[in-house]
Amino acid sequence: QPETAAVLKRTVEALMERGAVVRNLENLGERTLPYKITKHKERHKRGGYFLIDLEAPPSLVSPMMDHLGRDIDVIRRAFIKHPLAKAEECSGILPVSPEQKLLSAKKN
Amino acid sequence: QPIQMENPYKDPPKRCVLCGISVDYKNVQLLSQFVSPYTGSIYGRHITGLCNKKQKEITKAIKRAHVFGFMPVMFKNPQFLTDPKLCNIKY
Repeated sequence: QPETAAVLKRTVEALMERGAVVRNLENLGERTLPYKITKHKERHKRGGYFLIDLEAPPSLVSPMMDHLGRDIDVIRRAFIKHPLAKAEECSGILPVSPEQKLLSAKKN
Repeated sequence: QPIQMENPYKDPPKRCVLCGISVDYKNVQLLSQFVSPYTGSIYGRHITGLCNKKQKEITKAIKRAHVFGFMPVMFKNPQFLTDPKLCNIKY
């Protein structure tokens, strides 16, 4: 457990060094991985999941992926765009007229 | 003289199961409901009965969950096998 804390500290410091603003750090728990992952010549079965909320320029992504790839304690790394909560206007399934169905040319 | 108005007897638009629910790659339980328990393959639109947008979001989220190590690929997580059935499939 102190090792995970050290890993997190390392990554957050590396991020701040390159000029990223860390907004939030969430721990999604430690669980058995859905499949065994081989990384750095070791077969891993359990892992801790962490989510870091970032604000950073896009030029940060490639050097950070390199940096995290070299870290032995990091099994899998990824960067995702922050999901904007905008999907509240789902209007439901709109009825399609039979002419449109013929035009869409579905091979059925 | 008849007054022009739109059909007052129209049904409200049909909503799919996920209309209004935001899809996230993190809630594996929701995503596992649209995956086969035997092969782990994602069900098509004719089985899930979701609208265009939601089906696309679900597939993208499932693929993301596979890559990031949240959801198993070749099978369904046995924890979620007894979830309520959302898809129109007969085993």
